Amino acid sequence: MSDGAPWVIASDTREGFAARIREMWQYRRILGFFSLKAVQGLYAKTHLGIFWMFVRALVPLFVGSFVFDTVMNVPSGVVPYFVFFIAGQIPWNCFDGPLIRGSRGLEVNRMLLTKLYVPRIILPLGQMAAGMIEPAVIVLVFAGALVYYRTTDGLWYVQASPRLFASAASIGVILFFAFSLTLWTSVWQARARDARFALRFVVGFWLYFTPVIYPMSVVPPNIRWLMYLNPLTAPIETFRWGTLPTTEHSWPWFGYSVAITAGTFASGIWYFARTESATMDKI
Amino acid sequence: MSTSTLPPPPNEQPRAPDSLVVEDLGKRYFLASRRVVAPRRTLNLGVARVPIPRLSLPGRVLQGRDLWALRHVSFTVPARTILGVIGANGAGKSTLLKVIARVTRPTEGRVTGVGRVVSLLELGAGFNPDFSAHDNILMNAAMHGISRREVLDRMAGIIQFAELDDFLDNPLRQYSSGMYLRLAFSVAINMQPNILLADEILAVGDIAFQERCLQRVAEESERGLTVLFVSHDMSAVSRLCHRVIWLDKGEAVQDGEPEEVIAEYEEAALRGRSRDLAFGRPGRHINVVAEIASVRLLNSSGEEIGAAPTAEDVYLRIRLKIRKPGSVLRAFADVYAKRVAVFRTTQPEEVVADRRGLLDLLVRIPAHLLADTTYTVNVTIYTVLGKETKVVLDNALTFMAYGPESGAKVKRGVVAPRLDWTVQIPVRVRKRRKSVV
Repeated sequence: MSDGAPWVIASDTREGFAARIREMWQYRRILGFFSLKAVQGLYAKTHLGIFWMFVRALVPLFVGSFVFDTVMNVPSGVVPYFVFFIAGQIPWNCFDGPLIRGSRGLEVNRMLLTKLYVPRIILPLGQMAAGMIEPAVIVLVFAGALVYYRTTDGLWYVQASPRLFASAASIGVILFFAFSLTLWTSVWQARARDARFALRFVVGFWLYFTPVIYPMSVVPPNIRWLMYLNPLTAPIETFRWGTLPTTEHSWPWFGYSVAITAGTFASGIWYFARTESATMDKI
Repeated sequence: MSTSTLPPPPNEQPRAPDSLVVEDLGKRYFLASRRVVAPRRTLNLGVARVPIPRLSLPGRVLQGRDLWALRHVSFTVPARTILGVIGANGAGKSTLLKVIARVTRPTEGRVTGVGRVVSLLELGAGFNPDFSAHDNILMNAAMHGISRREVLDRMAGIIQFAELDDFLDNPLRQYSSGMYLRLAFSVAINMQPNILLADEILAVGDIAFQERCLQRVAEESERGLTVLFVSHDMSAVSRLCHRVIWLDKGEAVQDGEPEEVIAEYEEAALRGRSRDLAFGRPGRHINVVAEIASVRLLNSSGEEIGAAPTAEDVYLRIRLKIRKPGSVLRAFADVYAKRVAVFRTTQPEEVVADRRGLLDLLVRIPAHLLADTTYTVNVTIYTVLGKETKVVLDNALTFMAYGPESGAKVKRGVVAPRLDWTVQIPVRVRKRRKSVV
């Protein structure tokens, strides 16, 4: 509804894809405010505040590293397991956190949605920003670990090379995949609380089928294709391949993940738009 | 009350272009009551019936009923008009505004409009109590899709009208409801909307602020501003509006001059003719002994108010006209909210009306009792003069209660009493060791 322009509201109004994109651009600055609100809301009313941010990121890294390396002796190639583990946790947390938080995007803004019109797709996106805090902290830990191993082992495990662009692309694919899923899950979660429990349940298992705590090399070759069917497998492998030396990865399977992401995004947009008005009445 | 600030009624102008056209608008909600097991569908093959496999998960369907919050509503609003929308609770007023604000999609019909729509459907919607006024102004503008440069250009004007110079950098949670209202209205009006949707909000402000808003609306109407104003406060509606639509059960019952429509509406409420209150019967508010002349809401200074601040004492004033002196009276007031009977308050002692004329009964509603919702009051007076008779006025008064700061709003429940809370450490009863297994 821009200035002076006539508009129509009807039961069968379909804005169309281009109009929606234009609208999102017009409202783009909300995204910053919603992200800020989501981040501020994270540790509001806690005594330890920002401290939690580091505790929640650090403790699982050390505990996980102890269990999988010292106790179970999971192989990690030439790099120390701790570095290997963090290099898997960064992309995984770019999926887990944004998905879980983004799914609450409509639910937490219920009051606003029933009183003011904003392009609803922006809300899960803004909420996803809160889920980016943990991977950001893990990146800091990763940098710290690299410096530590530089002093003990005398070499940088991450080399500046064009491969790093592949890592960045992997993160992009994973975030986009998380957002695409959010288009479905945020609608479910706005309609029924069941979705929240189901989602945590599913994501908890998903981690085991993704090579985060173990490398693909330990997976028997005859079932690797099964692992790669998981659209997160290839981007996480590619992320590791881009940052660390001597790990394998597969471009064809990366392409498969990109295709799955694109399909999820397209169907997600379709589903979100189709259910939007009914969801607003049920929220 | 001066009416000089009103812009001239639109019909005296060279015909203004229509800024909003509502055609056969309908909104249906589904009110779910329970889930029942869906009947199993079968395919008749002649020789046998084969059950069709279910695609939905639990094989249950929602049972409930459809509610048309709006149905067959049509009207046209020329530019520069302040249109009042009145009606009982649940008449569809807020739904109408939500449809125009695009918060909810209509089930049938259409709305056509021109230009920017800014909505004030609730105080505090689109504001963040943790942000400063400055940041909130930017955010609220963004939520209306307005560019940053445009807001920054108007920032000074917004702040000036809202009168918050000293509080500009304080988070909004420290604001009083009056400051909140001033800020919300100032942001909305300074975005230069073509259509402003205001739900009950202006009724919350005091008369001086209403007057200032009115002045500003009048100035903006030069540009062609159209306002849709929903309120239960008839005095505010008659003061502000050029034209009034009365909605009842989702349908537009009457559309015309404010005085006429308000008079009809109040008359209907008086007679209980509104279809919303089936138990009302005509003429029950008057008998040979007494007549209920009016029921109003007052503040502690005795001034009539349209909405009740929950943090202050307010008074219900039941004005009776005694027609036959010497009768004994006892009054009840039944208060409803959200279709629930909240409470009945009974006059503790009977009074003797010993003279003809007006008699006021005042009921103090203490601070910190009401919740943030809309209340309706029914009044019953038993009169004893030889035999016992009663006068009843259903739907005598509808008013909104609002909390002091938006952060502490109590939306849950129909009352929000401030009760005594204490903290104590339980006295530990020393048990003999034998008794512990």
